[in-house]
Amino acid sequence: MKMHLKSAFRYQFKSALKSAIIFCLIMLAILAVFSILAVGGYEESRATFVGYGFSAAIFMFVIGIVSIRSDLRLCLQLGISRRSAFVSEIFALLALSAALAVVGELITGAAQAAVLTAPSKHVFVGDLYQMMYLQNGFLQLGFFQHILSALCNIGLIWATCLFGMFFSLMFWRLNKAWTVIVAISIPILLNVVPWLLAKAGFDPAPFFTWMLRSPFFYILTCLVIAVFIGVINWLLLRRANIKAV
Amino acid sequence: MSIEIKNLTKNFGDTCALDDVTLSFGENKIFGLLGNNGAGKSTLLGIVTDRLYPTSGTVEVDGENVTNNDTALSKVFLVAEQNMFPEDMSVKKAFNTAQLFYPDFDRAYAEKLSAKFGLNTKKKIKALSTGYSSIFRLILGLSVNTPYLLFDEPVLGLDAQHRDMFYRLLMEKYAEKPCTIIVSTHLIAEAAELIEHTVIIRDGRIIRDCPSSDLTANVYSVSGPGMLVDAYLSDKHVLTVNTLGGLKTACVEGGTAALPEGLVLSRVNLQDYFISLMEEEDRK
Amino acid sequence: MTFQDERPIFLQLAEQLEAGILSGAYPEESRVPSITEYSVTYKINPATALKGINLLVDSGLLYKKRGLGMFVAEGAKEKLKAARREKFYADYVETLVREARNLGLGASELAEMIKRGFEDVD
Repeated sequence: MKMHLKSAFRYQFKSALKSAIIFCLIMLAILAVFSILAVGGYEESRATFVGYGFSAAIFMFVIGIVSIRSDLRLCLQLGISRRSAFVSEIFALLALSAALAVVGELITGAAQAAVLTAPSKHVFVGDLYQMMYLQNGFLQLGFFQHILSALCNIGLIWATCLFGMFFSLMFWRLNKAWTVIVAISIPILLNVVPWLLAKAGFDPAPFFTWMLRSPFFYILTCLVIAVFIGVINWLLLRRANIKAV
Repeated sequence: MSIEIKNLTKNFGDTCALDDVTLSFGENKIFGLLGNNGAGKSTLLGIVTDRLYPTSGTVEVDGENVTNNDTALSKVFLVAEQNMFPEDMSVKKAFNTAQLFYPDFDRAYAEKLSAKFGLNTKKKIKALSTGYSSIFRLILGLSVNTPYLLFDEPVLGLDAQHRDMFYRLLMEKYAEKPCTIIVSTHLIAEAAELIEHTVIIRDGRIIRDCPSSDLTANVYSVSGPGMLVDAYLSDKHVLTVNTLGGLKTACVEGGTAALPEGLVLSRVNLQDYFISLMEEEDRK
Repeated sequence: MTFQDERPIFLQLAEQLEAGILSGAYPEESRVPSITEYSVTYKINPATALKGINLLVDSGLLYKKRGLGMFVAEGAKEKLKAARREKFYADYVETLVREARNLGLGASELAEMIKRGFEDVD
């Protein structure tokens, strides 16, 4: 067996787990405070919390930046090839994304249950899936809907995480001059490209309409993006010269 | 059972660090990899362990190509200058992690060595001095029990006492559990009696690759009156010549022909041979 | 033992072992240090230590007891003494005789000188 993924996976998963637990506790704390305020609030108070999936994605974006180089160096020191270290990192981050998504469903679900008893009619707890695909606003989700919500979050979180990894690898492989060029051009591109596309008559609306037809399309889009970024990440890593820090 | 390096070339941009290197590191021997700074020693060891990607050529461990091959790579452990563990990890946790990846990791032995060297295992790696950072990696190397053990400048920053301890521990480990060891070092005099087979690398090329005894048996020093020495040297492969007043001393590589009266023959140790060889190469 | 000598380490090791056997430091049937002990104490490659030890094994001065180590053979001391005597003859006596002949000394005159030596020298 040429790939020894188990130990690398265990190490990589555990090393990001600590931060992930802290993140979940923070989210739990926020939602707990939110629920208490909502339940004990006035009839006219209004509050919305839909940020778990998005926050988790940002968190994993940072994890994506931070883990790859550190984990890769450790794996190489301990007899794991760069390819195996990369593959197990992808899976470890996927597992972590899934864990975060599941925890997200649990705590938003619990918060929603608490909010049902709220006196106010204008308190909302939900997440991305609900916002995009359900017409009924912020009522409690059924079990199957929770599954879909979790899958949507996994897609978003994982793709964003790999995107973070991409930034880390890209800045690693580039020399100083190129790093500055890329750092400057990203915000420029983010502003200029949509404007250019609009000028060219490119209308992104049909794509979003298609995506909003079903959560499976959203999940598929995330997966495609994740795989695409993953491949680029491997291409960046393949021939890297790996030294300390 | 060996590490076979075939036609290995590595370019860093315009610089050629390794030029068509072919070497064989066979079973259960201690190899010395000698060369000046920038000769290519670290590059070679880095490619064998997948830290660097070769421009061309192959590395095989026990007949298997190392590329993307964990089975092959897990047989080779490299102790180098660079720390590859997260800096905020404690030594203890690093040992735990090594145990996770290497089933044969001798944890008790690692703890014993840590005590012997005075390494506080609760300390974080970033808090270790240069010397203790090296010691930490040495202890790892001595405890993993892989068939191939590579050292790249193992005693950097170690005081004389710790260097002495390391050499003794290495001999003890090697004598009791033979394996293949490759030591790349500047401190040739200290390592000379440990090394069985010497590889000398210069500017990315291998210039000597033979048993140490062959090297030192094939080189000697002659000294005597200048004229006599010159006459003797006329058909010999001379590495260096030093003149002090009327006395000339030359370092010669090759067989000792009949030594005329008035000339004194003496042995040359590995370090002096290396220096003379480098001086000859400088002149080329 | 330090290796300031120019001669190969394994030879020096062999000589030191022989000296130890002659002096009684390593009595017959006693165990001599193992390869590991030699290589650790003197920081030399075990192969070098083995080479030195094998010189004595080949001369019949040491033998191996499986699993226990290397032991001094019975009669090793006498064997060494005899070998040393032969060496003494070759190194000293032959040289002495040649030099005596150069100086025109005969065998009986030389014997007288040697007797005098035994009296004078402490």
